[in-house]
Amino acid sequence: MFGYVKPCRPQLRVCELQAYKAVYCGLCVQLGRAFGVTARFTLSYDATFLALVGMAVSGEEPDIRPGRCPFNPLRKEPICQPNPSLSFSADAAALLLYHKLRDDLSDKGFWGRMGARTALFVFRRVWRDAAGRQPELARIFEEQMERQRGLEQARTPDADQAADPTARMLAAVLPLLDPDQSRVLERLGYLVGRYIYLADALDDLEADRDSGGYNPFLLREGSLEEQKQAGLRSLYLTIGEAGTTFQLLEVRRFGPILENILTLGIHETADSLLLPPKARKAREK
Amino acid sequence: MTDPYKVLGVPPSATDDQIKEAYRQLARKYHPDNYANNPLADLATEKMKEINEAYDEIQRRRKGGGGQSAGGSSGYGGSYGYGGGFGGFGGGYQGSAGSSSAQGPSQFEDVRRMISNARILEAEEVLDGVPTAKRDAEWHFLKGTIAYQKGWLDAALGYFGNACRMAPGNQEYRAAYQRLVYQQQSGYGRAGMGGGSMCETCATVYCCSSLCNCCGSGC
Repeated sequence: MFGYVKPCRPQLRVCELQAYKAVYCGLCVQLGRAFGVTARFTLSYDATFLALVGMAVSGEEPDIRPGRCPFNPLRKEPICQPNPSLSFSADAAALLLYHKLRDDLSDKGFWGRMGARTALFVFRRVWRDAAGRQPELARIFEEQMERQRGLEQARTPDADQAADPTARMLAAVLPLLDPDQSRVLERLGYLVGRYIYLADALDDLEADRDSGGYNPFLLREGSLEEQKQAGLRSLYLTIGEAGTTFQLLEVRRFGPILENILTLGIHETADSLLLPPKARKAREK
Repeated sequence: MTDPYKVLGVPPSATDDQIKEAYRQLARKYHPDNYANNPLADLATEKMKEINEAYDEIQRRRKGGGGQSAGGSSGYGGSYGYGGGFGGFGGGYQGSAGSSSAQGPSQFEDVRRMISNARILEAEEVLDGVPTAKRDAEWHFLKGTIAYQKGWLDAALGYFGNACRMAPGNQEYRAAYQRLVYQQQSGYGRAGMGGGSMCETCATVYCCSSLCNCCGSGC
């Protein structure tokens, strides 16, 4: 989907990386089970983050066991067994993906549109199932995407406003993970959603400039380089605030992994957005 | 009461110095300055109180007394100005009370009250109704506070900056502005990581390893 919310791997301890991978694999299994094989390809770091937060605040101990992955059957890897956090984040991820594709339909080039249309066709049942299980979320997402389309058509130069719909979508998702901590989760969700939108905007800056697509950072004054730097500063503000907010979340497990993602991980990703594509690929390896 | 050692995240066998260090780290993390104007300031205050109480409790047990402590701020907590006497208000209210006493009555007492009661939309409506000629430094500060609470951080920074330019001597405005400027430049909130950002050595090792991977001899 977006893939901007991921850990800084070298800074994870070995056991933490293993737990992270187990949740990632567990989510993949869950997606396959709930929506069929094709849905497995929609797996993303963002959905894994959601599942991690869910399990971190849940009273239930996640069950991590060695198992085989159909895509790599030779080795047994630890896999997190199905639990409510996994199925919830699979649903939320499916709904977010659907809206991302609808969005691509309107602002990508010809091939992007074709791709999005194909994907929408393939995943239409996935979306229907997820919306059936999470009607409230589906309604909120629909409403916010409508707002986003309006803001983009109006070509608002204000990044705060442009990011608001995506931010509110995540702000609606996270509190459902633990109603007792809904205030912290709502703000954290808002900031993570804002970060995702702004990171995506910064990532697409050059493509949008060439295609004439809407991008809030392009509407700021200055050269492309200055626009990039200004975009990074907006991201930094958001990241710093997300870290501060996270400190107030009471977690039962996965605390260091989440702290890694919300401070080092998204920081590293934000920095990498300004690197040329080649250097970025090297860094991601 | 919950186990005070658990609150500080140290084993009961920890030395006095280790306890002091753990306490100091946590106090830095949850310090009310980090959560000034934050809609979650009350949660940070609660956390801080818990940490102070745990620290005092351990001190009391270790002195072997079991006697009464002097109002909760007997220990190290006192040096942070954060004793037992702090009531149920968030950091934002504390700040506002401080500034208005220093600068005479505020034009926007009602707006400040709405903000500290989480009535953000109402507060914003009142402020937007203020004619341009009457929009002073405090107006900009409060607009910034509202933007900050909504998560509109770029706007918040702009308003705090305006407030500082219009009233350069005001501590409250400057603190809010500087915190966001620091955040914008570093990407870290002061409470986010207690000096735990990627250290030089790790960064170097990491870059080297990335280069290794480039050449196809990944390790």
